[in-house]
Amino acid sequence: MSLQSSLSHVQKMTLLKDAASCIGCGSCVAACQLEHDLPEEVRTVNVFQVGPYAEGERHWTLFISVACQHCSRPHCVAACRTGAMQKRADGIVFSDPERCIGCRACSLACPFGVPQLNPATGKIAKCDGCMERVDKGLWPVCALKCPTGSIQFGTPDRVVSARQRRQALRMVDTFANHLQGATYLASD
Amino acid sequence: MLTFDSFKPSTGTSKGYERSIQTVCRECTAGCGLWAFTQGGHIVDVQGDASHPVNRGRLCARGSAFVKLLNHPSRITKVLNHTRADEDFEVLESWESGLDLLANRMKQARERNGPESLVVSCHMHGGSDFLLGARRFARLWGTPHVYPMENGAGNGTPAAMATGRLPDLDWSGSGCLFLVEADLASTHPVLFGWILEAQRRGTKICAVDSQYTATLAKADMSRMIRPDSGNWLGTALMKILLEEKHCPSASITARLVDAEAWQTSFAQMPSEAALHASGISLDLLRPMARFLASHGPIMVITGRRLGTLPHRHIWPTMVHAMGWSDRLQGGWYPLTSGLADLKVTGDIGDGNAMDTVPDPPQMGSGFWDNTRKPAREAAPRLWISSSNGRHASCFPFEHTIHEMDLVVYFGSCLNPAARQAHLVFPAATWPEKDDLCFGENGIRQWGRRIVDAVDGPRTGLDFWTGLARRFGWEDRFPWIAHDGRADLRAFYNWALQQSPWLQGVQVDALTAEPCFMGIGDGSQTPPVQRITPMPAPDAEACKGLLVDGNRFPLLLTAPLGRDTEGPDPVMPLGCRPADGNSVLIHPQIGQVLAIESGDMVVIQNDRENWKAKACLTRSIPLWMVRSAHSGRPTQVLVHKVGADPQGALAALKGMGL
Repeated sequence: MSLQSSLSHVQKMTLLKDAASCIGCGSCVAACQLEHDLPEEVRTVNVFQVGPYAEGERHWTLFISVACQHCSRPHCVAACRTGAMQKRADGIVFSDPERCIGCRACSLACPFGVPQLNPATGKIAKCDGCMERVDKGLWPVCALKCPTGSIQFGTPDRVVSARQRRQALRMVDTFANHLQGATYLASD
Repeated sequence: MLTFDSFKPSTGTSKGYERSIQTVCRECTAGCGLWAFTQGGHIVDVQGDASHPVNRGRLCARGSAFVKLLNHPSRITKVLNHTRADEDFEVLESWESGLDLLANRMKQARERNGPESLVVSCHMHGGSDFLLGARRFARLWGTPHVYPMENGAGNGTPAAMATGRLPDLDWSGSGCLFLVEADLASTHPVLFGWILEAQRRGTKICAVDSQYTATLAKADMSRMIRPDSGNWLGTALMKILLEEKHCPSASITARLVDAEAWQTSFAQMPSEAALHASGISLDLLRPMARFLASHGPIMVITGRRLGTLPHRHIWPTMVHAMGWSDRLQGGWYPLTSGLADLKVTGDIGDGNAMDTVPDPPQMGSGFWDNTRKPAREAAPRLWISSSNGRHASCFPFEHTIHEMDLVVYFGSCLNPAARQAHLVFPAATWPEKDDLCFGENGIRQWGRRIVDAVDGPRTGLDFWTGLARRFGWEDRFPWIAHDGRADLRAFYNWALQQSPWLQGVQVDALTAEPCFMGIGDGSQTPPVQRITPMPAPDAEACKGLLVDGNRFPLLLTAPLGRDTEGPDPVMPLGCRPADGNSVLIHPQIGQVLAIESGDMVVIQNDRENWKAKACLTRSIPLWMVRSAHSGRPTQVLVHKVGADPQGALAALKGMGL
């Protein structure tokens, strides 16, 4: 699980990504490409797979959807000579296409290699936190469309509390199923 | 200040638009609701419908990416005529001139080879209307050979209903979900989201497949088996469940007809054959049987292809014998192709016999032998196919396609099947037409058109209506709209009235809010009855399964059919070989044969040998080699280029293969 928080004095939002629920379907990738009109080869969201690792007949694999971390002190912003790469007051790091000259200094500066050159426009493409949508009170598309709900969006308190509620529900259901299972076996 | 509720995602679009259309995604058979936003006749955004009970605002990758298909470079927009194999396609003036040409050539072929030489294959991408129109036309023409590519259209649903109450989308009442060659995480991610929710609430997942899929990655118990052997696995499991007395005797006697003879047949079945067919050892199967027996009630979810293969009735037999069908959320859930199970030929000839979808002929059966003897009257010489017709299990025509008099392709994009066709007709894609959607779980919805079709492509019903008119059967295809095109709404209204289990349903009712109707609410489900169980396969059937692996110990598998050209874009997890000539090999095999990723290897069987680049992965079982190119499974030997084949064979034998 990873928390990507944007820290500022204004309302900060968080994307919570739960690898336990991610199935690597690439819905977040396709949603982002449609939203930002990106060509197929430009992926501002990537799904990484860890595994499969095997021990005997057992296998383990994890998937995790990764986009820009929206760092507190972003190196990409510091490296940008034209002022295109900016950090908003709410923490979102984005590239202004009007100022971007496609020099890729931000790509080199980013420790995660997030900013990519969009060959269709000659400008840098990166996750902008769906800021146009967020400004209108809408969820980012990766979180909105995720088929398993593995990406949650909201204030840090809300996403953590959602996670806690989910865990609590699981414990209650497991206990209830245990009782039901006992009844089921007894009735047989 | 804006407030965000993490349980209620804020949906909508941030883009400017003129129209918003509430409709149903038809990329797969999940039946997700979506909102499409258009500007100037083009789709600018697509969002999931938060009020829809299936997807609740969620949408998978295909549900977003279909927009790109509409203006894809490989999109077919004109009727194409391919006169000679070494020539490019000739673009015909109009749809009507293409149909004229087709009708003339069909008449000639019919005179030469008889009516039964016509075979029609229907892929779900061609739409339900293409299949239903084909059945009606074939009835008039006089051929029984109309085959849905994926599964008997809707065959599974009535069979599943016979096992008891169909499930809702919430699976949390099941003790365990048993997925057999059904990779829902990849093919139906939104439905798999429901399964993961059930797992979080205590339901177990047991999954088997021929490669390590995302579904297996999330399963509590997983096993890898031979491709298309799920039904054989079921027979082996049934034998173990009976042997270890996991089947409640009350269920067997109450639910199965002639239960004693049925039990005897399994006691006499040689288990080695079934185990060999499914590629799994008894040591691995026994724990699985015990796992399933201890986590009832179980919902068995079988993949689409299993519905076309022998012994598929083992699953309703198993759920009845185990007593799972008696309980809420237990039973059999066969994935279907989403093609409508509607009766459309009752008014032609002598009843509804043609509406019963025949089982696709199996390899080695007389039908396919005919394909190798084109002089015989019943040999297929005239093939009309929608979408990808190179599906090996149903239509192994790749060896005889050059001997056919006429091959016609009806589809939206150029693919290998289209390139071999004599005539190509452009098909409208689902966002360009209204359609009746038959989803998984019997969901029925009316999908509205999002954009107008570009000039050229037509619907499947348009194709058959135009063709029928040229044979003087226009009174049998009377559904014509004001613009001269086929009227799908009128056609479906008529077809719904012809089908007993759907009588009373009208398209108008489906288009009203909410546009969702399911049969999973229990109210329309018939009471559970006794069934005639599937007996164990006899010794003769088992005998043919034993493959001689002495000389060729590894099984080469490949994708069976696909819609695009080039290497298979969907390789097992974590494998994206840059080179289309790659083969996947298990690391333990690589270790024994001194093969590293990137090495060139020789793959050989008793007919041929060829070179490929090795890619080591644990995504496949030890005994499998997987190629990116299409082909049928075959036993092979693999060794590094320059290495001794006999040494490689001895090393593999030393591993117990």
